[in-house]
Amino acid sequence: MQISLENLTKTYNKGSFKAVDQLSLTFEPKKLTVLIGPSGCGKTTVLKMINRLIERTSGDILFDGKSIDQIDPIQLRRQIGYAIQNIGLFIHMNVFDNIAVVPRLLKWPEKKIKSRVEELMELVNLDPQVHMYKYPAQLSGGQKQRIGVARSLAANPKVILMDEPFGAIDPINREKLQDAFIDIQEKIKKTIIFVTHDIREAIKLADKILIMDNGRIVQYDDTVNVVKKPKNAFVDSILGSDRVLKGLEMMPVKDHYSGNFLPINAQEVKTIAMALEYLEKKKKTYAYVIGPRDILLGYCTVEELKRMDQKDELIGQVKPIESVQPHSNLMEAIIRMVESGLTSCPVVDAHHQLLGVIRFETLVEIMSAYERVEV
Amino acid sequence: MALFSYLFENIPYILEKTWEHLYLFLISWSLAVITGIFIGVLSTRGGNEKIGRIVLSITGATQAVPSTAVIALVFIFMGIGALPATFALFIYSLVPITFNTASGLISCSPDMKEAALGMGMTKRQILFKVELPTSIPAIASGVRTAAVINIGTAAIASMIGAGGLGEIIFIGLKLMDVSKIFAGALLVALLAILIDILLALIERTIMSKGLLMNQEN
Repeated sequence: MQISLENLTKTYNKGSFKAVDQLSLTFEPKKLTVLIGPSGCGKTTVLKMINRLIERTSGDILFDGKSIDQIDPIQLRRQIGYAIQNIGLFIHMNVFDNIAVVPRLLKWPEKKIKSRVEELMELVNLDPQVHMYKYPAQLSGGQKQRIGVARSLAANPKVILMDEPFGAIDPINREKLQDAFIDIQEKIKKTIIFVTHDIREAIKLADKILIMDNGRIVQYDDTVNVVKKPKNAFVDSILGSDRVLKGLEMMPVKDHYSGNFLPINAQEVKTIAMALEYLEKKKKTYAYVIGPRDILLGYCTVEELKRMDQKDELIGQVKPIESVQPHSNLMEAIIRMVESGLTSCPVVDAHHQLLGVIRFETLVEIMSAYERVEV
Repeated sequence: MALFSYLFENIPYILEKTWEHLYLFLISWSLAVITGIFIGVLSTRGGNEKIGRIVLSITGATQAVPSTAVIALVFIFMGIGALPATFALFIYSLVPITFNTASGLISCSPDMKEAALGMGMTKRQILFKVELPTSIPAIASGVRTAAVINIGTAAIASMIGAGGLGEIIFIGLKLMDVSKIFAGALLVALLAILIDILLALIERTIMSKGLLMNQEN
């Protein structure tokens, strides 16, 4: 479903305070858009105007071109998932009944509701057998939050509004929930409008970021573009001084690694002497060593090989190395390089088969490509 | 021993008085339950809690008025008999029920209410599916307090000719018969305890286990 805002405005105190000021934009269907900005910037007001918990002052909100006024607010809310920071699970209902609220409002048959609840609990990684009939008081904070997310997805809405849904969780569990949530969105592909004040969360989750200040749009673009090209000093300050590193955190290794490299195959290069000869011929100071089926065994350096007994078998002298996978991010690759002291990091698949390398010079190129913002 | 011999020798009379007492209680109390919950709900509607808070302060203050004063006032305006007594008991029971209903509803978690509204519940659904079920502990405690006070006060209502177990106490007072006074008092107390136990059992069955666990946390 496509949601468009047209000159959306909300004023308080007879127009003297503009919480949201002439906002016009379209939320992309099946994408996760994060609304971010300092407190009081109007992000939550925008969210709550979409399900009419707050009535707008002027302008319009269009659902697939249809004005919000033409839709009954109760029916509208039943078609939009809603998750809030303090979750608001019903303490007198068990997990099953909590998730079943909207399907029951929509009068689904009980059989369909039961299979839906089980499906959702599995989606949010909670065993239905164990947790279905527990009450909120018996759940941990993270589990409650998962149920909150499951509840917002219950009636299979096309649109989900989330108001800092992971805000009240400790940092470690928040990371876990965010990871789980990325997987969930990968599967369900909903139009999600997500409010947060945590820029790391925004960069991690968002397809698009909408930065707001004083009820207006400051920048609305794909997450990568926002991080790469902050529009002004305000956006830059929201992104923070480690903007470049945050950028690396959101770029997957798979887009940047090179398959063009020369590993040593331990099946052919059997002794230290042979390895040295090979490296010197190729003018390399180190190389990765692979075994059968291109499995990464580790690496060896010219410097160390020279100090070893030249007749020794290479395979016994290979140094182990930590690798990254294509879905890892560039930040992880940098950390691996710092750990090993090498100027590259091996990229392997799930079976530890060497696919390529990510080079430090590539990372430097990416980082220097970031535009400097005048402050 | 004189107490027990009095009780055993007058079983039909005592049963009659117990029934009268129970009758006074049941009518005045059940009307108060219905009216009290109704006022409690109405006063907290409409989005603003101002009226609710006003009702809370009025009912809170009224609880300090002594029961004899209420009965005396009703006697002045309505005379003697079972009807004025029932009315006095009704008014007196109304107070804790209204107070607890309003305070229970006002203290219902705003997060739950926001979630309920955001998920598309109507105002009525929010009241019946969220606010009232989560207010059961508060309402039930008001209802039980009202029952116990009502049964105790009903004994005093015998003063204005309403009958009931209070009659035994007042006759005992006139005749300076200690065993009668004790018998009356004992029966009133016993009745109050039994009713309270019964109500506690009902409360247990209608209240969600989730609320109980939430209170323990």
